[in-house]
Amino acid sequence: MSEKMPENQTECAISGEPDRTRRRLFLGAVGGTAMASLGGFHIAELALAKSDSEAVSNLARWGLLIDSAKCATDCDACVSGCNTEHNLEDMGRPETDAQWIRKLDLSDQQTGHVSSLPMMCQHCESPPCVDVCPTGASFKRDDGIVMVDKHTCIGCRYCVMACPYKARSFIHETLSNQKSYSPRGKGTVESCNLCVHRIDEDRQPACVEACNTDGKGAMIFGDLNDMDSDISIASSSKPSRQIREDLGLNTGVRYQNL
Amino acid sequence: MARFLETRSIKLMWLKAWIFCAMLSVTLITVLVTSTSTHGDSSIETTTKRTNGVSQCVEPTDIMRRDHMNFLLHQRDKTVREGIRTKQHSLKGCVDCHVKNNDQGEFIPVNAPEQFCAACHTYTSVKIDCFECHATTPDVALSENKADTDQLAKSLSQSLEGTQSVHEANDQSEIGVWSFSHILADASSSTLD
Amino acid sequence: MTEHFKLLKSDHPAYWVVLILLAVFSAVGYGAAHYMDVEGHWVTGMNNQIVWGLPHVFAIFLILSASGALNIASMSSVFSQKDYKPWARASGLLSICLLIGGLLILVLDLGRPERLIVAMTHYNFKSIFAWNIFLYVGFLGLVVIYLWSMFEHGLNKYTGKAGLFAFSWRFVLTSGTGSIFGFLVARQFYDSAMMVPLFIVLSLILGTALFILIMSVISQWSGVSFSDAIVKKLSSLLIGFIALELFLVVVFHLTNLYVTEHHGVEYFILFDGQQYTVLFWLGQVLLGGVLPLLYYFSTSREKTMPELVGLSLAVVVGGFSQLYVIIIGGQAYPLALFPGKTVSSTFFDGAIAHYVPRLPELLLGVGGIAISILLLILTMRVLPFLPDNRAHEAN
Repeated sequence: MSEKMPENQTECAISGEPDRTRRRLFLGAVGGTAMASLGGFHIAELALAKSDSEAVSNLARWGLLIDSAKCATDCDACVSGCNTEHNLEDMGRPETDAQWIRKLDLSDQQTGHVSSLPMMCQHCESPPCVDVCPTGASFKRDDGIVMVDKHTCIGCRYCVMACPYKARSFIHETLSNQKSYSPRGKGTVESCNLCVHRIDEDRQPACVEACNTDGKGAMIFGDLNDMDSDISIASSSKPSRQIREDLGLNTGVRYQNL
Repeated sequence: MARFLETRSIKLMWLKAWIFCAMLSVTLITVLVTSTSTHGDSSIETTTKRTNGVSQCVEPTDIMRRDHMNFLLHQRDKTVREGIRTKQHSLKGCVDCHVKNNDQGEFIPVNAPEQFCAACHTYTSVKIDCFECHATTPDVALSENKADTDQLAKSLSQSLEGTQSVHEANDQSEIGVWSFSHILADASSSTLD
Repeated sequence: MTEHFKLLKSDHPAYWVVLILLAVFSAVGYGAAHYMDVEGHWVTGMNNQIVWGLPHVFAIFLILSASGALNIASMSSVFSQKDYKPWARASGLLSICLLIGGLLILVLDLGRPERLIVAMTHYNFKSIFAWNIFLYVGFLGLVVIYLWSMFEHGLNKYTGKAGLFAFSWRFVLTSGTGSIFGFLVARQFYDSAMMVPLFIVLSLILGTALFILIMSVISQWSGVSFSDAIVKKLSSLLIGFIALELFLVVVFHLTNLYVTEHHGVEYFILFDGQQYTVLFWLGQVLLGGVLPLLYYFSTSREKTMPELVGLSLAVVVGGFSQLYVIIIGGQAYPLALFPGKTVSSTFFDGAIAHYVPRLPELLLGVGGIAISILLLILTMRVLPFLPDNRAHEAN
């Protein structure tokens, strides 16, 4: 039997996503004993998980909740996590270097109160960058992730002009050593995509992971539409705010204790 | 008469103007469209021996030669816009399978001269810009994943050893990546033997 | 009265020198664009803070001028001002050429200029850029039809209608260009519907002034002269536009000053913006507005052609300064994410953005102007756009 392997079996073993394969095996076949050896999956996540061939839907809306009180001024774990994940290299030209996430230090001009927070694409429900893009390259996925389709981006930078959060970067030079899951290249605009490649395999964005392991645990990622998700529970119990609420964009990224 | 002459000379001028406009647009188009796209002879023989021992592509070779760009284009929109991440027609899959190692065991970029993508595309002089953004070698993490996957298959077959539920498992699992069920079946049948 | 038109033919030594220079600058401009394309935009002064730089100032300058350059033709066929009629054809042609030059700059400055076809095949109809693609292409088509109706005797009866249509279209076009900035809610200095009338009137000024400057040179080469009547009318037309623009600028800044959240950016542009403040007061207000008005009203006698050229030169510099202040000065002031807080980051939050134009982008911009004028002259050589002196003698 092993002689008659299907033609793309080996390819699958190589390029298949282990996480998903594991989960489906578990779901369909293997008993609880296998669970421990397969790593910790929550039942709730399993129920929501989509297959590779399924399109994302608007049942979920991904977002972030950031607790500014926990976020430390001298900590930039999220920034390093993002830069490593997407290979955002330091070209030695800060004015043109891409930054998907950055740390802001705030100081109240009247009271002198100091706070710190990470700033990135706020994944608006009504994103100005999507409105202005002439080719539709800047778009919002059904699950609320705002991103750039670099295949149709012509590099006009109108979205950079339109973003109220300064979240977008234009690639000013030829790049190399891109990650296979994060294609990036000269002449196109890019910004935080909430690590869409990770979300599609039920993992957390790199910044959140880094904040939890190397930082202060100030970021919660999750589905804003799911009332039982950590992010919904945390944001319903305490007030949170959007940056530039006045624009009415209904951002997917919210801040607490600001 | 003077009126007639004037009309005539204006007609001549229009002719001149048309020629001028045609020349101008040809120049502009040449200036703007820097990338040329031509169809070359597809009988070129490429070296398709792959590092991982897989002998066949995701589609028959003649179909791949003719239509790979359409598969990729379709897949790219599905993946970027809808989050559909099936592997069969993904560019990442091409790279993972068709990349070669050098003597030091390092990956050689698929767009390097003589390599899988470049060999044909140079021959047919069809310029592609895929690799201005996309990785030209598999991620290192991916080969780790491969080891991971192999390990997983092994540990699964061990955990299933001696159990009755093997075939049940195969029936019940709605395995999206169908070929994985065959790995399992193989693994289990070998243990049952 | 039948007008007579002739080809541009000149033995003037300057004519050939200028022609060669224009060709050289066009080629150098394309070379600069190619360099930017190969290297990436880091070779320019533009960055992630100032995302639109000098090329965009040049491009919008030319696009606005293109719309305004049709003034002369519109005065003739829409407002039946016969004195303008000899220059109607030249006005239409200049309009087309300036628009092509401006669009070339915009396209060549794109991050991926080779994907122009994508911009032509993928449309997001909520984008003002997408509207503008149709507005620009439509304008080119309309002016070609308009010119055709002027050239073809049998179609002359349609000139009025074509002119009216083109006249209306160009108001929509400049509204579209103004809306590029007017609809940007993110930025303090934009986000104002005032951008639309500001851009419309600026286009009337720049177009008229560039027409005067360019045609005054070409007319000298080809032995054509502007009639006294048209010089008089053009001067008062231009002065009217200048006064209107100055009024709109005052209204724009006053409305901003009334709103507390805009005080920061207004203070920056009006007092604290270094080069932007200088360009605003000396370039835009003084040279582009106050001085021409003072000069015009200082004597009651009729203005001469050299005076008209001087006025035009001043307002072209003023208008260019105005666009520089709006486009670059407007971006230089940081986004207000946290009003009332001092913000700092590694991404230049809360800081005035730094921008110094570099050679490639300057050459690209100058190249765009050069190719516009080169196209104009070459077309004038093959088709009779220039008024024949007989027309003036008849007058």
